[in-house]
Amino acid sequence: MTTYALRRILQAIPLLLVISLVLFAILQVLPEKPWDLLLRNPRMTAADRARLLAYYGFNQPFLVQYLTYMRNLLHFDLGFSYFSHQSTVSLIAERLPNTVLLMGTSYIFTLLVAIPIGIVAAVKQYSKLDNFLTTGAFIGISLPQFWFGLMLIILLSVLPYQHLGFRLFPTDGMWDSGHEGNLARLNLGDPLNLAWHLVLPGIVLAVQSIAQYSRFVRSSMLDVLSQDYIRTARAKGLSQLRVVVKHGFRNSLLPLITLMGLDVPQLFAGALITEQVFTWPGMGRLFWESAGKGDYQVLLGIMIILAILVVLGNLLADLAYGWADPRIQYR
Amino acid sequence: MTGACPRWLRLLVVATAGTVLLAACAPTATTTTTSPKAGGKLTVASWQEQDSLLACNITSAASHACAYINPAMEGLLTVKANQDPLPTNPKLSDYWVPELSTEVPTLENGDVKVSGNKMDVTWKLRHGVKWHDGVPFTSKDVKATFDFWWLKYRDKNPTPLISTSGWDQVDSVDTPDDFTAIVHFKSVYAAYLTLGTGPYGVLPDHLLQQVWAKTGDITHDKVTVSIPGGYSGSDTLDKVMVGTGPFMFKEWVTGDHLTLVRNPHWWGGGGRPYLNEIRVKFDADANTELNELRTNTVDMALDLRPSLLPSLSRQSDVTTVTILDSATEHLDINLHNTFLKDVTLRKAILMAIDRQRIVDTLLLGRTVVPPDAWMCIQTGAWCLDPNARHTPYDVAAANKLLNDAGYKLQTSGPCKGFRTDPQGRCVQLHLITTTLPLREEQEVVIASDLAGIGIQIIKPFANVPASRMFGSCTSGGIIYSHNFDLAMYTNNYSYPAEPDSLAYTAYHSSQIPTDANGCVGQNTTFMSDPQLDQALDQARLSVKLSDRKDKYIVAQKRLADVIPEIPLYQAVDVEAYNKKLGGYKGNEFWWMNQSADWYISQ
Repeated sequence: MTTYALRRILQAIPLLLVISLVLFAILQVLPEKPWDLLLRNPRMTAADRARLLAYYGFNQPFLVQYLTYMRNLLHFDLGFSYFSHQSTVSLIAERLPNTVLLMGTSYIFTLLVAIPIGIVAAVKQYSKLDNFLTTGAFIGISLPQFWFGLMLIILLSVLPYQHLGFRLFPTDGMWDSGHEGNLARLNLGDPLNLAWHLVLPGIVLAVQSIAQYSRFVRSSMLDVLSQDYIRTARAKGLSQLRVVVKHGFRNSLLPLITLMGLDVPQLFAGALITEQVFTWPGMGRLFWESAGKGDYQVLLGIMIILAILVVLGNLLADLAYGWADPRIQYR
Repeated sequence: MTGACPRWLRLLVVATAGTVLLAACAPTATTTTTSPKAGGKLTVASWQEQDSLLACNITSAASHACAYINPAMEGLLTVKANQDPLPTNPKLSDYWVPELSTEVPTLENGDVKVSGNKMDVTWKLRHGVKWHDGVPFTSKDVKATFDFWWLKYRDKNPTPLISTSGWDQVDSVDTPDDFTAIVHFKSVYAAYLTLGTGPYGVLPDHLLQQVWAKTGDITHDKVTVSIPGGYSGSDTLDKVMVGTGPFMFKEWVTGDHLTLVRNPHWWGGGGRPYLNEIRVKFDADANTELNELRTNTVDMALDLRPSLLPSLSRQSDVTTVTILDSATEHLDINLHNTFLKDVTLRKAILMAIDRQRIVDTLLLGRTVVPPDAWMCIQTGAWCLDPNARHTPYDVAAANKLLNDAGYKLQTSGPCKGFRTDPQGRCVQLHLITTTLPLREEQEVVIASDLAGIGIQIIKPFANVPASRMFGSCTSGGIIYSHNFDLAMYTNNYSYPAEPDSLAYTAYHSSQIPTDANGCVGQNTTFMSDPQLDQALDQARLSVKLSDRKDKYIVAQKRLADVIPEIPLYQAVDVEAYNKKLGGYKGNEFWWMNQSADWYISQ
């Protein structure tokens, strides 16, 4: 397995190089340039403009800019923000813990809820309960996150405050004033206040994921439950719970592992819309803000990390197949 | 005696307890205390976060960044609040208030001396001021500031300064004593009050020395800072700040909040600042700010959109303030356009748009229609032409003007319902703006009004994001590439009371952005008029206020004649705060100017 993993990692290197070149080129040809905002000052003279273009390296040819970027990348330097002058690595380090907390919490909640729902729906196929869960799943999949987020804010925060004088949940942010922490510095602030702020964005993210995952689990379980070995297990007199969980669920894991592998980058990339609606200072908002300004080095840094995570997520999924199904061999 | 209590006594006890309980639970009557109270925290929401603490006119020009650093970072002068009284005929200096200096230097008080084509400005500095880390403020800091901007590195500055314009007119700075700094200019520079003033006007010498001992780039070299009661550590000046203001920097958690704490040693005295802490909370958008005001999560919301005025008016516990800006929402006219190069057509357009209706219906009457040439409004009103032209809304006159000039209204053919010009071409104009909802509503009104005089607006909703609209001319930005017929946006003063900061770059022919001039300037209309150029040139080379005013009046008359723009309404800032906040004054520039006077009244 180690040889297999090493070979896959080595194979990923040229792939990542190609990805970096394509990403770099795409950002170069976009109509909005970083200097559009950066150099927008009516008092700027021609000399100021030339000085700044040289400072940020915008006056260099494309290839020189790319090679400089790649040389820095080999030293784990993802460049720096044209606007905040902070390194991309430090900007990501400030936002990543917030995103991992939000996405991780909602992901764990998703798995805890979606898997039992999927299993029950499969076992009780075409029953009233299955129809109810299926309908719920389609509603969950169809809910636009920005709309659902705004509705939760209005219904659970604004209206209760205006009519009852208290908020059931906060409108946005990670902490209330006076309870702040800083996850990047391992300071949780007031953990209960943080947990209270996690609820609404967590629900928005989880509802759609629960709907998707439960459908996957149901479908996968239905395939497995019709297999001969399940019938054999039942014929042997095993309990329904044992048949479903040990023989059924374990064998239905392969598609779920694929899905989880694909979702690994999402845990780090954050949720662009949800973070924006709830003003959650995570990776999604960093990406959105950087895109809005044309802060290309930060965008590029985030996208290259995500590309690496996609490769890693797939590798982890491949390795997990062997655990879930011992028939799978690595060569 | 038994332990039993009489029934009437039990009822009395229950009734009394109930009354007490009800009284305790009932909301207390709101009484607004007029005298300031010390203590308390204030949370201010804003939908824009600063990229850097240097983003206030040092490494970029972001007005919101100026707002948040303003309570901590001071300059030689600051600007007067909008509602503070002005003399009947205000002078330029009347808009400024001394901050780290003791007076506003002018020709009249002898602090400005002109000798031939050179000029000296003497800054008399405040005594007893300390930086937040305890180092005394002296004339060394003023000299270091001028060194930082220009004198030390000239045009090879290692810091990515956004503009050295104006600083490059300085020859040297003398410091005869700790509280006097004399700035020697190599030429007469009329906008001298823009140098060293406003938030971050003066930088601390002792921190600059730390940077100059390394690479000299303040965005790169870390400084070690120790603010008692505030921040302690080491970082670049992008991330930390040491000022002299009423509040001191404590922390900035990116994406979330910025915390400023009370400076107990502030020079302003009088028990100020009253608040113990100001927390600026960064939101995703203005709607989030509104929700936070509704749920009392924040005490103040900055930079709200005029389109939120109706929602704000329904909040009984919130005071909404609209502040008139030295800026105008207007239509830029491309003077090279086939049709628009005819001044008659431009004049007809000016007369045909019901601008007061836009003000009354879309902005709830919270602003005004400016004069035709609007370069001297609000803080620039000192140079306003007393006979400034205000063209009224008059559709009949506009139609007559066009009829007389040979623009014919067509009743058939491809131009049916619209006019053709004297050469027989359909008069069709493309109106472009950014994707703000209010602008799209304005677009509807304008398209409808212009249809009323037979001018067809095509693609009225093909609007673009701000980055595309204001992109550089090298990357094909709409207005700087002159790629429009009519473009609607707001243009404003870079500095208070200084028309040069707007008029020269917007109307002088040398400021038409092209590849040849490195895309500098914001003369997007192709305005090119020798008489106007001369007036603007002469106005920036005189410090005698009456002379400057005369030149600017000439400029206003030319602009009113040529009509390169249609001013729609004077731009407004919308801010809102909870009624428990006292001492608030609205500020067009830098928003949080008078934070030392703020207090919690309940």
